[in-house]
Amino acid sequence: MSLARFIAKKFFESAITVFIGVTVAFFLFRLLPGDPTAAFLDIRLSPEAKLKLIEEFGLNKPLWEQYFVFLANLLKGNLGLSFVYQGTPVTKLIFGPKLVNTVVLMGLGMFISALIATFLGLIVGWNRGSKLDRITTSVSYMATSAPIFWIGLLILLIFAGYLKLIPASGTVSVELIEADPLTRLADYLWHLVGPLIVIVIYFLPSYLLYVRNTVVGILGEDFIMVLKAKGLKDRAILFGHLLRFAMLTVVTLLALQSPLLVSGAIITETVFGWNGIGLLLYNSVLKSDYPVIQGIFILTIVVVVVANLLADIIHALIDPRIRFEGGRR
Amino acid sequence: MLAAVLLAVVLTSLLLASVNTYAAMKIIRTKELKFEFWSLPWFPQSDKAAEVIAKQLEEVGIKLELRRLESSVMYPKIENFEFQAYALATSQSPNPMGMVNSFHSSYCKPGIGSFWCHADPEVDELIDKVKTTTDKEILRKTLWKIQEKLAYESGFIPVYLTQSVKVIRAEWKNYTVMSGGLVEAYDIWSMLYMYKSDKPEENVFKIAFPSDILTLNPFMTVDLRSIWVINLIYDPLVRLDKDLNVVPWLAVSWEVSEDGKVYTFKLRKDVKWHDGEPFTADDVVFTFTEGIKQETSRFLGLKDIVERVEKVDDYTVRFVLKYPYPFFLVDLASGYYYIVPKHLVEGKDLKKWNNENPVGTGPFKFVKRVEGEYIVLEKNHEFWIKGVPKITKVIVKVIPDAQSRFLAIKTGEVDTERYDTPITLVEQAKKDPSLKVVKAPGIWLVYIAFNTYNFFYDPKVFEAIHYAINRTGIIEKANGGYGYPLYTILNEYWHKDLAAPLKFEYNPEKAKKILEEAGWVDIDGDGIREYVGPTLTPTTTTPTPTPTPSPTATATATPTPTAPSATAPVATVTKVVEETVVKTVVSTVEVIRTMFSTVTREVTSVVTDWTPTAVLSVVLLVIGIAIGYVVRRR
Repeated sequence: MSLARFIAKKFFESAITVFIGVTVAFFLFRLLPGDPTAAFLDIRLSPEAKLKLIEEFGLNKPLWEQYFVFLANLLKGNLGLSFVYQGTPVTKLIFGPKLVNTVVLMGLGMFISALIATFLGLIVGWNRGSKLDRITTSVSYMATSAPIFWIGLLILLIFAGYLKLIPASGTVSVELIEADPLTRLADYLWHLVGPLIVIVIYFLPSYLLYVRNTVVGILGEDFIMVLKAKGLKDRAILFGHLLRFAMLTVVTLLALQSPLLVSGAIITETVFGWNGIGLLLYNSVLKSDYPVIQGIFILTIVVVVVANLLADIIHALIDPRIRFEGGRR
Repeated sequence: MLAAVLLAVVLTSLLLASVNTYAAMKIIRTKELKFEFWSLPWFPQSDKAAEVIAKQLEEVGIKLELRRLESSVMYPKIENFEFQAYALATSQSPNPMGMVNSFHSSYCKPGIGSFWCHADPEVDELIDKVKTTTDKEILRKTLWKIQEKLAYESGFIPVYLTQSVKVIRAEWKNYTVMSGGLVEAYDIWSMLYMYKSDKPEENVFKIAFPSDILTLNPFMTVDLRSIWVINLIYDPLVRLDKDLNVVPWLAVSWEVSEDGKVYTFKLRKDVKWHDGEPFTADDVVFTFTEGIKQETSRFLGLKDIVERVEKVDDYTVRFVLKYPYPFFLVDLASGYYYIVPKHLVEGKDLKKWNNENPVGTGPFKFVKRVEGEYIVLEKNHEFWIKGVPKITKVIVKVIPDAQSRFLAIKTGEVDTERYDTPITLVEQAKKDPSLKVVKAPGIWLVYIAFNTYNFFYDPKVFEAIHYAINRTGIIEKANGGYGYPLYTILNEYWHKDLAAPLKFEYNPEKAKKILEEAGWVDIDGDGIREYVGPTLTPTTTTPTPTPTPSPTATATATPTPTAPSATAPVATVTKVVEETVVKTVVSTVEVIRTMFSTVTREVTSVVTDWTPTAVLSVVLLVIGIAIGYVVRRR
């Protein structure tokens, strides 16, 4: 099978996956018990106003009709209108500052975690059984098992409450809204510190333990003995040879968790008032705002599928055997 | 002799009267007094009350089986009358008609948003009388009568009114406390006269909202957060003062015609829009005419009341009503009808208008909104009341988490918050000298309601429940003592002397007696009363044709809204399978949702006292790490 045919086939498969995912997303949220008009808890709407609203959003039409309207709109790049935010287009809600905020927070958090995990894991694994190893692993186990909202509140309390080093909430200081871009960037990063620490505490321990265990496993292999026998220094073995294995583990983990990049961290974003996709999802679930939940769901599906597609294509480019095996099937 | 005759006459007439009134609604009885009792897990004011009520009613032989459901699941079912009983809260407004109207028989229909049902022609007649009378005394008396009748006969049992408790930074002075709580949506007075310093630039008022506002379009407001902001930018015709009396605002004075159907308002002449244009009668006529004509959600309620709005001269407006409505002024003052500038809004589709740059006549000008984060308003220096507002800048900040909000108030990042502070945090605020706790009658009426539409209706049981619940005890346990016992649908804190002076003392013995007299006796000794008929006494053996009073019997009493099975058997089978699948999915999701919210609530209520929690947390962490270290060493 030629490469072009292989890619075409993968594209086709991905399209089908996306279609199935989108269909599931549509029906799943409508099968859920819940009434979007119940979102208006603050004031009891009059029955007439309520019926009007239901009609306006087409909720009185049969489900099948709603589905086809939804598909047609999707092809036009229209994810529908938010029930709660007075008919704001979902695309406008998602693809804006919220997505940027989440990608910055999650991307930076995962990157920092990966960076620290690779080097620390390497060193800890090399010195397995040492005091450093014991402390690091027990702290890691503790951190992975601690509930994330608790860590978030603790950090908020200590750094924002007592020490007053970081702001309690938001992504921007109101006094600096009109300031020059550089000051605003600094302010943004200052607001980022709190949630970023929580995200790093969330990802780092698991990455670290993976890397450490990989390194410990490899240390028993023959080629390490050969390298040592060759008279290579420890540092050379560590950063010349083991580093690659450690990086491979981390890169695999990062690839697996790539959807989190856009779906965000619900709890962290809520605790710190970080105006991202996770917070949007949280508010939308509370208020049964189907179109928004569905939009985030679809975005995540597309990211997963595209990531897989890219991985497949890259693998096929590197390793021709995959192409041929694919052809035989 | 004469006395005896009189007594007999009075007694007979009373008996006849009672027979008459109860004949209005159909009596529906279950085999025993056992109800599935729904409650909203994330609203502690009603959820904790539900727990206490269930316990108290069990003592008199009424079994309420508490079940927690999410609002998005519960509300549609309640609106379709697919429930047995529930405990919830409904919001109060200075206009009593909202509450009273909901007991009109026209609201006793499934699927139109009614949460309770009462269909009594006599009550309907009284409500119609209230709507059209112009005499204050008749109005009050009629309202009293309605409340009394409903207290005894409807399945809607008021329990208590919440007290609003808000925390504000202690340096703020001169605020007004109105029913509903500090800085409520219609309270302009605090926002005008509040200050913390003599230097104007220091008077920046920062308030935390749990989530962003939904709209700045005054025609389409459905949430009080949006209204709170709009209320500062725009002005209504009339407002409520701190005692909830209607006072002039954009209208200086008004005249009401003899028949109560024509209201003529004289408008202020010194008012300017934020863009400098003068405010005139055209703006008022435009706002009301278009708001009603385009069926916007805020103005839709006026459609049945207002016939037309017309301009008399540049500063006089005439409202012609369809019938003499005694609460028209109160409605105008409390219904959030804000006047918009005709020269900027004309020609817009009001339902879709997103009003990104609002221009009003109010005390504050819109500056900037960062969606999901901030709203900034600044003082309108040309405001038509000279010397106010004292506040020079208002900042609304979105902080989603309740703990974070409280922390922000403590550190001074904000001054107060939009909604009530959770009771668990109030105790901490009391200890902090930099904070002040402000109390006021709250907005929520906590009540229990029975499905009188198709499940259960026996007024004697409702009367017994009034005596069987200890309201002060409920307030103590459900809301830390912050609340006022309520017995009728209106109350003195919101409706002053329109509230009927009716009270039910806590008296479980009397409740038991009423139930027994009405024919509810526990014959099988399971602690739940069964219906045996009013003539039978507890000692008589039951000759009733229903001899199996097993606890499972009530399950069959649930009205199942099955369609007539005229369809083909195959279709029925698929339908049944479909229904079962949907039901299973639905109930599983319900359970997960409820579990999730309950756990979150419980956990957050534990993590309330900051300092000990923080110390404890750090200690726990250290101990955990130490244990891990030792274990790995072995």
